[in-house]
Amino acid sequence: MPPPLENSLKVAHYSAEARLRHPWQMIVSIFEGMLDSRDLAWQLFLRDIRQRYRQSVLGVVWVIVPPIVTTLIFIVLNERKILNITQTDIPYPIYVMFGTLLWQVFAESVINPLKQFEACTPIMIKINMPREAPILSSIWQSLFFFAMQAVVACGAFIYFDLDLSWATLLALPIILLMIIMGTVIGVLLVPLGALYKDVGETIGYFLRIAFFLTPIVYPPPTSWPYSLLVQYNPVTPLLMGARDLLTKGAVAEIMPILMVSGGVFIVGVIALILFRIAIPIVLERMGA
Amino acid sequence: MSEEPLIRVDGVAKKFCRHLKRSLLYGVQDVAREMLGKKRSENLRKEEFWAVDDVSFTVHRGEIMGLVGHNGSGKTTMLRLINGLIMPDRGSITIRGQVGALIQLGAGFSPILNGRENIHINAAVLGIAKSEINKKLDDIIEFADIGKFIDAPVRTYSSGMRARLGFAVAIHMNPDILLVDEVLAVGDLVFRNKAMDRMMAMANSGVAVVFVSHNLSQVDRLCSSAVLLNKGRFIKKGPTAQILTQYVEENQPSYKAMYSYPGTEQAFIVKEAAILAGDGTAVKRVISGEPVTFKMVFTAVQNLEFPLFTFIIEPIDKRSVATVINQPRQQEQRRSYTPGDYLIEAKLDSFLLQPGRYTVRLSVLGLDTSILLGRVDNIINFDIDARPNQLFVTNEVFFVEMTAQWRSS
Repeated sequence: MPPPLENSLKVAHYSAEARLRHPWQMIVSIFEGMLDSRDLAWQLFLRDIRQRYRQSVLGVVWVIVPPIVTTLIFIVLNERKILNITQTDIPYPIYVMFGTLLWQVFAESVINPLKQFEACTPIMIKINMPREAPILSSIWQSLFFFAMQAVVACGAFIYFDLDLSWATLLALPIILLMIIMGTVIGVLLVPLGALYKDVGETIGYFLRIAFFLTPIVYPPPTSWPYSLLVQYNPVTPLLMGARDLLTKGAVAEIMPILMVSGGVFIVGVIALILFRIAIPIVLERMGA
Repeated sequence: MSEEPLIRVDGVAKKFCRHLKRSLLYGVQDVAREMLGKKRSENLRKEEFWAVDDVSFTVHRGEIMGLVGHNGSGKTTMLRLINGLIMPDRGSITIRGQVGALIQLGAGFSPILNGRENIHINAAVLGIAKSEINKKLDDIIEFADIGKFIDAPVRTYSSGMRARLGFAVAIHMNPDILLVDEVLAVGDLVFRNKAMDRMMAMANSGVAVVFVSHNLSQVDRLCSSAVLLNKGRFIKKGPTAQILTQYVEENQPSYKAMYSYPGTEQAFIVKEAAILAGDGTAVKRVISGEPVTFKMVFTAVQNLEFPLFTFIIEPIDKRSVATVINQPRQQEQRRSYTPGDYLIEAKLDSFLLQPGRYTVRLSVLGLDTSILLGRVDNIINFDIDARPNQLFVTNEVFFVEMTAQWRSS
């Protein structure tokens, strides 16, 4: 095979200059990185899934059981009047069940990017693999997790004898948006989290608190200051929108959802740029 | 032909921080700086040092360039910079073409998954197209030559098998530039030769190779040129033989003599040891092939009955390559020493060692040659220089050049 023409070669230039000085070049290279990452991200995803389930007997049970248990706990607490949760517009078990499932999907997608990045660092410090692969593979992970939760949701549909309509399917893009939002938050945390282990610890802790700051097991509060939780928690409109579509086939308010998607897009671009910039600096600290 | 180099490294410097916590903090600062569009700071902050400083070179198509230097001289950092894993703090690097790295064989291997599955993962990590791998799966498995293990989890593999599988995948990269770091150190001789042949073939087909190894004989065998680094500083680029000689001369340590005597009582004391040139003067450098005399003055502290003196010649950090036993093995033909001072000399007509640095170990055995009376490590250090017009091959490759009476008819 004759060597390719010299001027057809891809040229890479590395210097001390801030790469953000050429923002357009940077965005193009992030986009290329995404495209180049597809193969690898899929392989990394397969590797992780196979790894996880080949060494486990119960397998996916570990994904399915937690939301059911959480739901049962809250149903029992509420029925025994240990918790005093005011009337929800749909039966409380259904409300809690779908709320928990949706929250789990979001929480998982927040955790995944850092987890994937850490799984990839031994490779990344040695080999120049497509940079965005850990991000893409973490999205695959979150989608897989969502698929597992969907199995539970199907069970719930049958158990509670809920109506399926076309509007139910409209919940999918919202859930996808939740996954993207979670991933964006996760990616934002990668640079710091890769340097300081504290971040990883903190994410889990904050998600546990955020669980109670989101109307998952209780209806959205209407009185100030608790109503702020609904107004300023970006997860709330998505979670409630998706739950409403799934259980009632209709969504109360569309505007907050659109606003959140806009925000996710803007912060997403920033997160990708931050990620690109931070990677070599982070890898530098990891040694070879 | 004024061809553009595939790799151009121009005044590159890179600093690292010794202190972990501080280095993490600097990391956060650096990310913040860059997010604000500021250039990397060129000054050293507290606890920082230049790991690579002002290095410049170019590598062209078909060139295999060795990076030579001590541990910590910046070789690996240089590779990581060329690979684009980390960014320079000063200067610039221009890379033309696809970069492939033979830095870690089997990157991304999962110990739980089997060989086949890991081929796909590894290939994806190395950026080899999926279609390419599917097409060549049988070739890869054949090249790896690990038999039925291909369907077993990788954690059941020996390290050599893992390396072979990793290498079998890696050779299907189709890069313009290949970076190689120490991977040839793993695996057996057959594997190493296979790997080297493969690299040679890639270079011949126009790939530019950068090769880092502590094994100078590999560098010598493979590389057409070499760059010498010392404590991160660029020293010189030139033909491999020239660079290796300079490296060997400048950097090989000479050791202090170390005496060890088994038992409680010291049997003898070496007062003086040297190598004499043909004219009888003590020398530290000998030209390969010249006659030499090993000379030693010692004091026998006890009665030494028919001792067996052996000078063992070793290239620095290598196994012994030659011995000068200056007493016959048959004890009847040896002599005994009563306490007192003695001089021993052993004359060699032609000292045929290859150029390089050597050290001499003295071992003294007793009448019963299973008893060690004493040994002195590094009793003499010396260098062998090449003869004029001698083909340069260091002692990293061959130790002795035999002379022969050539005849042709």
